[in-house]
Amino acid sequence: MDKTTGNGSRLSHSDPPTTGEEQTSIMVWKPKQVEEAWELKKRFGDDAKYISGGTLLQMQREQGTPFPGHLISLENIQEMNGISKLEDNCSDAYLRVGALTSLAVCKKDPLIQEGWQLLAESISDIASPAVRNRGTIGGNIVYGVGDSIPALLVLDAKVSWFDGTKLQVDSLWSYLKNFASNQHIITSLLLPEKSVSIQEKSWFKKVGRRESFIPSLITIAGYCVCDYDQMVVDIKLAVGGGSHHPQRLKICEDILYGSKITDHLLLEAYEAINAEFHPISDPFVSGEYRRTVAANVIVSELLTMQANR
Amino acid sequence: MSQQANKYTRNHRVRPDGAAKVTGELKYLTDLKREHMLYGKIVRSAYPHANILSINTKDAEQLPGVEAVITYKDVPGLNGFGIVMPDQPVLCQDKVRYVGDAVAAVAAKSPEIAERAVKLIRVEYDPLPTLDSPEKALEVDAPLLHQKGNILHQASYQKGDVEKGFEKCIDIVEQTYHVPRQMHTYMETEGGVIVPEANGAITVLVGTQHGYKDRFQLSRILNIPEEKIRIVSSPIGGSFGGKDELNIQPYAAILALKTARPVKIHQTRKESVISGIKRHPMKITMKTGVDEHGKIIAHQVKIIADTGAYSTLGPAVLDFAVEHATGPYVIENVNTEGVSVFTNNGVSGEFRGFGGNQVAFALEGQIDRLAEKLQMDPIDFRRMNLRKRDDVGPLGHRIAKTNGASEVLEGIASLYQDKKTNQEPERWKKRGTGIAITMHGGGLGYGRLDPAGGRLSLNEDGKIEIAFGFEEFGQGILAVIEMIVTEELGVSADDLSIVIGDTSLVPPSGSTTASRGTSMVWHAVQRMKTHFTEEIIQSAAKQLNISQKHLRMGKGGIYSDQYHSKPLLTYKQLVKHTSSAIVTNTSFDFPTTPDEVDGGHFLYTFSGVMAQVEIDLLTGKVKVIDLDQVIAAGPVVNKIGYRGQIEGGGVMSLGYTLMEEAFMQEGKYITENLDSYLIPSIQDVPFALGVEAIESLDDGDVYGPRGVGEIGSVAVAPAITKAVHNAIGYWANKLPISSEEILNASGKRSVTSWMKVGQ
Repeated sequence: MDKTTGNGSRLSHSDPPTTGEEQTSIMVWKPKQVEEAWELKKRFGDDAKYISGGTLLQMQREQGTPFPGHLISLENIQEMNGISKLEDNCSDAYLRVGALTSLAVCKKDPLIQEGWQLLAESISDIASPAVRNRGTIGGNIVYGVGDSIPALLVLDAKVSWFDGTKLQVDSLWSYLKNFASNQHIITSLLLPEKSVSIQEKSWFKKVGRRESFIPSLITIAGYCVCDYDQMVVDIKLAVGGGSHHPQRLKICEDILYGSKITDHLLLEAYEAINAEFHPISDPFVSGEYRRTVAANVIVSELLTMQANR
Repeated sequence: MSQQANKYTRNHRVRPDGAAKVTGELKYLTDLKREHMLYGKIVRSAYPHANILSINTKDAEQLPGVEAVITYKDVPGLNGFGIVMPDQPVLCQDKVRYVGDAVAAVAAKSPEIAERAVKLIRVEYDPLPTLDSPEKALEVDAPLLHQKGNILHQASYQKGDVEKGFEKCIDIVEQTYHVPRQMHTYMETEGGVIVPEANGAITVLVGTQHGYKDRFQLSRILNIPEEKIRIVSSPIGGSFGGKDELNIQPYAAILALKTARPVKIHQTRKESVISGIKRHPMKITMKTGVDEHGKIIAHQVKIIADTGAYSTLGPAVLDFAVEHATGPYVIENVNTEGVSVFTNNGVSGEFRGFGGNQVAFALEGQIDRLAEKLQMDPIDFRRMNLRKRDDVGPLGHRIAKTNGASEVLEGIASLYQDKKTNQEPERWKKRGTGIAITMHGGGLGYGRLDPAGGRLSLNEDGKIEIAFGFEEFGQGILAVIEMIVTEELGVSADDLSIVIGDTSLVPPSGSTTASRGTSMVWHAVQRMKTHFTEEIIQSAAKQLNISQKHLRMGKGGIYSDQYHSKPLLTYKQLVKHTSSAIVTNTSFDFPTTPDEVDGGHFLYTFSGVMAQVEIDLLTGKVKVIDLDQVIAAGPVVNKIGYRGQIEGGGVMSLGYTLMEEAFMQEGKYITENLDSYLIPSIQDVPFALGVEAIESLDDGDVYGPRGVGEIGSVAVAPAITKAVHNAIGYWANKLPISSEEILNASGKRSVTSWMKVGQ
């Protein structure tokens, strides 16, 4: 196992070493296996954090949360890398995306661009090119608030994580519901292949206080399939943004599923969103604003699926 | 840009410092290091308002690697600073008045040790009630922030009888406007290195807008003669008014003198947000009335400015706002009253536009609301009330004759005709267009020390040396100097050596502020060029034994009128055999009105702005899709620089209008860093920003090109606000305009009405 010593507040600082430095130094561990990483975390407990791209920890440090005494870098764990197609149960096909894959690589990957365009789109809206070059898809998920999560929820993504003894796989939605963030090591994402539908629509919209390089106030993603009679046969709606944990809008989905898109149905859907989504207020916008925007965007997208609209 | 009456048309001059800046090669003063240099850090107050009970620095002093800890006891001279009134303590002794107040400072061998030392300094406070608004500070039982009370300054202007005027009005609009605390957001935060020299002298390598003023203030604080202080102050990574006042200099200087070692302080962004000055938030109430002909005959204005904890330039900013409260309009009856109030919010001070941007938002808002009420075209309504060439200035004082107001209005009117699109935007979107105009005074105004000057010499290397006390902070003054001197003397850029930003080398030229740089460079060169040229020619004639009348200065040296292809004498050859130094100095004052009107300006620039917006009805987002300005400021010196100033000012004000607010609650910043204090990204800026320059000056105007550092920022907010109104019928009276307010205003929250939109 590699281990290096970094300076506590400036990892890449080039100033000459000074006498006080050792007092603020921290250890950077570079395990090669996920099990080793887990053991290190167990050993150092709260004085250790996992780190991959480091973009979030770096920002938190800037905001006043110092680095812990030990950083467990996941960078050298091979199994957490790469993008590849794989078959599951001989029938369903998945795209496996290693958790360490940088956001920039995900965004540009031809397979993702072709089959899971919504993910690429959502990543385009995350932070800035520099952050996307460092930040990883796993990191965007593991803290539970990343902008890609609503898109992944409507893509019905699964995650694979290491729970201390073995790798587990479940849908991202139930993973997010059941586990507090950052307790496990997410090793990869599994994106299911979709069958081609005649009338389908998916959308992703992030609203921030400016056009780019901005935390989300509200992020909305949706996927809807209708049959020839405008009957909704598949619907997934997800919202997130700010420090709000992303969620599926299940009540609204249930109202839409199996029904024909009409003005009346959309009004019901609009009201359902108001009832089931309770985003928080902050000094910049109210929860009411977030909810209204979510409902506006979802209903306006569905409206275009109505006949003659 | 149109080209009239301009001799500086030969070049789009690339700024001499441009390449080094864009390649990152340029060393800013905060990049400097010195041998044995220590790192300083400043301890700021934990409370916006509190008595200090005790300061214990013992633990910090004992930390290995800490070389000095200073408190108020260590200030050798006056424990105070402030350009006009030195009422801000360098280091607080018994009271803190805002979260940026300094209580102690340390110097240590590394930034990390300094940071740890800061945490070891124990300050005991007894918190006092926080006066977090001017209203609270003006309450009768409010605690007094300063001995003289909580009012920093009052200013007013009366003309005619405003009450009688209102009686004759057929329509009156009364509205209160709120404008936010804007941050300069210069890329380079405050910092630099201060080096102790022999005999108790110091060299201050820290960016500032006015080296000589820093020297004066530091001399008072350090109790050493000004001659022992050398200020090296350029280049600077942006300022916009924010670095005219002292910032970290006193701390680094005291620490450097105490440790006898160079001390570097470079504030983090968060430290910069907390301690740095901001644009004054103001609450402006205007009542404006028109008669049956559509003529504005009564205008009443009340301005309450939140000046924060200390004076700095608060009084001057208020005076400027009062002066500009009628803008370019001629109104029979005016009553303007302004008050600048001390609070426990961050210190407000100088900022590009200097109080003009605040009142322009309110005034142009009134004009547009009145035009709507009268069902008049906003351009016609303005035309009817606009000042004319010979009219006096806004305080009834004489000003340089100008038709600028009318020129920019007509310029923007024709642009409005050409560009206003009725193009249908996509579904769920609405578009709107708005215009606004303004006039803006340059220089400091009547009754204020506003000296300028410069020096032209032939230096030992045979270079024509032009020296000014101005600073380069990104505005492009070097290109302006190069352009004016080469054109006026007929020499090339290679013949020049430009010297600025070092009090040991340059003459005093006043502060680099108030859009005065370009103007003062031009004036100085006009004053020096004849004498300097004569000296050169005289000396050359002597050496060449040719009559002076046959010689002239040119690129690379002295030419004869017979022989043009090569100089007879290069400047280098000339200096080699010249016995006495060839130097021309000048010093003079920025022109002011001849009338005794305090703060009254003389040279004004004008701007007309057209903005188009697209509003997303689903989210309430406002996107500026077009921003064009027509500027009347005399001849353009350097086209790229001019365009840069207008575009940059425009983008800065786009931010002011739609997102920028240094938001405070109970005297503490909520927006502590650039992840929550937002400035526009390139995606927020229209693809093309139009800049049209009207270069003509009045016949007989001898004042040359005016500076354009501020004018591009002044009238943008009201133009965007009107565009929003044009799109959805909503009048915003508070900046920044939020998406939530737009969403509420567009009334699409109720589903039923919402569903009909866009069908």
